Amino acid sequence: MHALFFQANKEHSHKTTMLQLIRDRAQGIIVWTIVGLIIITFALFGLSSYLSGASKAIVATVNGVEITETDFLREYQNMQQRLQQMLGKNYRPGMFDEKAMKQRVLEGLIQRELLNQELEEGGFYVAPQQIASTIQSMPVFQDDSGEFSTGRYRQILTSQRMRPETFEYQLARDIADEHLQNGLKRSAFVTEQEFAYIQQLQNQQRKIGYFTLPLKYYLKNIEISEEEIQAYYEQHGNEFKTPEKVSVDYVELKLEDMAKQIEISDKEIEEFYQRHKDNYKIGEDRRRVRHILITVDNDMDDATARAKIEDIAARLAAGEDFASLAKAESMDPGSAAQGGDLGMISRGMMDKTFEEAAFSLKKGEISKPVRSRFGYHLIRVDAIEKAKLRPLAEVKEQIRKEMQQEQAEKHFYEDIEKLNNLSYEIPDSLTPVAEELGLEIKQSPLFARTGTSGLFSNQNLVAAAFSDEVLKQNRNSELVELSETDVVVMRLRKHQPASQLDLKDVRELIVTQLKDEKARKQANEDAAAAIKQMQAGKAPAEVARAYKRKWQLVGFIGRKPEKDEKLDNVLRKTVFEMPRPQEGKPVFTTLTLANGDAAVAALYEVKPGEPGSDPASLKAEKKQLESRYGELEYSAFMKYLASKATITRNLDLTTEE
Amino acid sequence: MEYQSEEEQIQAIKDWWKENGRAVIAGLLIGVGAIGGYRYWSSYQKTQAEQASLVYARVIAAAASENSEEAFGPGQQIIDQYPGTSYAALAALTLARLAVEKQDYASAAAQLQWVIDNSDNDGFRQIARLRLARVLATQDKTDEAIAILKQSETGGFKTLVNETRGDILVKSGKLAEAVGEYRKALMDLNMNPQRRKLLEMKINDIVMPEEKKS
Repeated sequence: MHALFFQANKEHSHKTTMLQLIRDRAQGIIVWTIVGLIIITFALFGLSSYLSGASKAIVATVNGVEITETDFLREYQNMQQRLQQMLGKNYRPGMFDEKAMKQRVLEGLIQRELLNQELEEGGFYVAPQQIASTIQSMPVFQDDSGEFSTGRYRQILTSQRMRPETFEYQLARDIADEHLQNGLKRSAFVTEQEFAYIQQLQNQQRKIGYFTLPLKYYLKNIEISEEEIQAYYEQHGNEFKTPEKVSVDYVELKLEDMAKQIEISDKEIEEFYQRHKDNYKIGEDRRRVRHILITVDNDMDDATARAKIEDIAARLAAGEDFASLAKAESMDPGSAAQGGDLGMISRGMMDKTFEEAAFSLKKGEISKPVRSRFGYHLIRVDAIEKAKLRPLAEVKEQIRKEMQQEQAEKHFYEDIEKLNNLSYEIPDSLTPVAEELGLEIKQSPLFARTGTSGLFSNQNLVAAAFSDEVLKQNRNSELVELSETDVVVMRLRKHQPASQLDLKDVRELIVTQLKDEKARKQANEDAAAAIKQMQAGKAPAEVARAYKRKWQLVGFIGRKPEKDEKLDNVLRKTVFEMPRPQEGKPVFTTLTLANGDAAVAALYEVKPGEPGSDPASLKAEKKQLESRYGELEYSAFMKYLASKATITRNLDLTTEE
Repeated sequence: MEYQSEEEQIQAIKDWWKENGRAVIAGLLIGVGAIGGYRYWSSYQKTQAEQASLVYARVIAAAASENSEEAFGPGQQIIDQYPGTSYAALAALTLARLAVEKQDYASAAAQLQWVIDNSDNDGFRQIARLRLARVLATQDKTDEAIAILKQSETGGFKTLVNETRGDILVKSGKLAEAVGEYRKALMDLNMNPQRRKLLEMKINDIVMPEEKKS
């Protein structure tokens, strides 16, 4: 600002002023341009864009709209929670590649923003009536009778810290989104002709024949010379290696083990039991009560009500029947007709003063007038049901475990700290830390990077054992967490590097390998020779016989095996990839079957498939095809949106935590 | 020209204003008018779209029901009364689908053509083109179908266009060209395996013996 001002002054003293410039060309373009610019600026941006300014981390922009790191992290956590819920106890942190997950979340957010902009640009407004009726039909906002409740609506939104306008705006977005998706996806079709074409393609039948040249016949006659073995070993020696292995010393700090070692005396258990009796109750204290209510409200003041209840109390004392008095006098519409009976009640159900009175009465006793917030009551208890206490003997072991666990927990986190510090401060031995914490130093078996059975099947432990820290620097490992209550520290005990195997150890392997190679080669050569004869016009059966094999004329087959049809998968796949036979002449091919045998196959004829005969499954198949088309077109549409948008991604996926 | 004093400057401003004041005021008035007009226009658009959305909800509900016939009335209503809204294009796409179900390909083609001619959404138009090409091919108008696909914008729709073109070429007996289109479609690396299989099936069904050898 200053610089500009200064410049203007300088200009002024020398040549022309801004004003002059304007004046000189006043009639012309400049005025109109300035006026135009002002209008455009305000029309497009209004004031709001000048006002928001707080800086925040941006992970992506879509046509200038920013996606903040906060949005991103929230979505990422949501995704993790969803995965956790879906997988339940099978979920382990780190089972999904973090980088790939983050990428997915980011792409998802970008797609959503693209869609939002498309909805905005396409003018996908939703009528207020529709938003209202959608809200009213949502079960969460309905009361017990299934009616929409405004109170409930506000209450739920408040508990979610959301203003109704925000919620309604988002809902409108969702409805618009549904409209768009519905309009594009559900309008996808497959015409009858297209469906017929795909049906005949999928159900196509091909008539084939083949014969095999099994490897085992060739293997029998193959000899491998010592030189060949030697040469192979020299060439491929480094493929025959024992894997690198380590064994480690380790200490394990486990809450469960700590708890087991803690002694709890019977006396302590008894005391605990006495203090926490409530925890060992079965059922709860319940009473069957009757009452007579005289309401205090606008029509009846406290004193009148009081006089009235005293009067009833006197009549009861004089021997009148409680139930019939309740019927005649009680102002509780819910119970009067039942002679004041309220059924079984437990604590927490009734008005507090009422409850106290009801639970202090003996069976059959009638209370003095009791004032609750409704009015005056007379209460009688008809039956008492007490909660049952489980005997000490029954819960003794459970209590012992609980107490052990509780006491162990007190030390556990402290011990983890100690383990962490000591094993780090004295990195060349586990003995001090083991002695300090009273842990046993255990030894693992030798294991490779693939782990071994037992504790060292855990991939985190294996990774720590092969870490530079342990393997190269010969230090104690970091704390490896197996679970929240189970940690391990280890150090190297023995390292067995990878080593090349001696020829005598791998000789058999090499012989098998070489024999297999030769057998395959011979079989393929025979197959190639055979197909030449067939193509030259010699009958396949005759050719097969020359190789002491039989030509199998299979007949028509489909793309998928029939129930008891046993045909090599590779053969089936191959014949369906073969070109159609022309002018009735079969087409031949050579191939290698799944089990390694060589084969020669012929394709005689291709027959278009019949449509399925079950109308229901035909309909379902067509529906499926249609929805597949819909999905394809919709995802192309989304890709198209992305292609014309300006998208920047700014998520640094290499740094973690 | 140089100004000596404040007064002279003020005089200059006054002169300028005398000369240009009208223009500035006119500019401001026009500006305000433009903003007002724009506001009115967008609120009109909004009302139109809201009303269209109500009718549209009936269209999709009916289209998904047993009595899909009932979607035609409200569907046509949107197209006639709110042709400028996005809902009109979606309604037309839905009606085209219902027409295809009745094997009334002429009506289906007309609805899709309407989207191509009237929607200002390139994405919708592109989908309509793909579908129209298939409807035309079903009516054996393969040349027209190919012509429709020539006008395609590609971004994002490339694979679908290739595959559809391949299907049409097979229908008109141009097998070698069809295989070429299918192969182009197969170059889409993100294709899901199911779709890839169907495409390969289509290719394998038409490979020529000469080609297989090479």
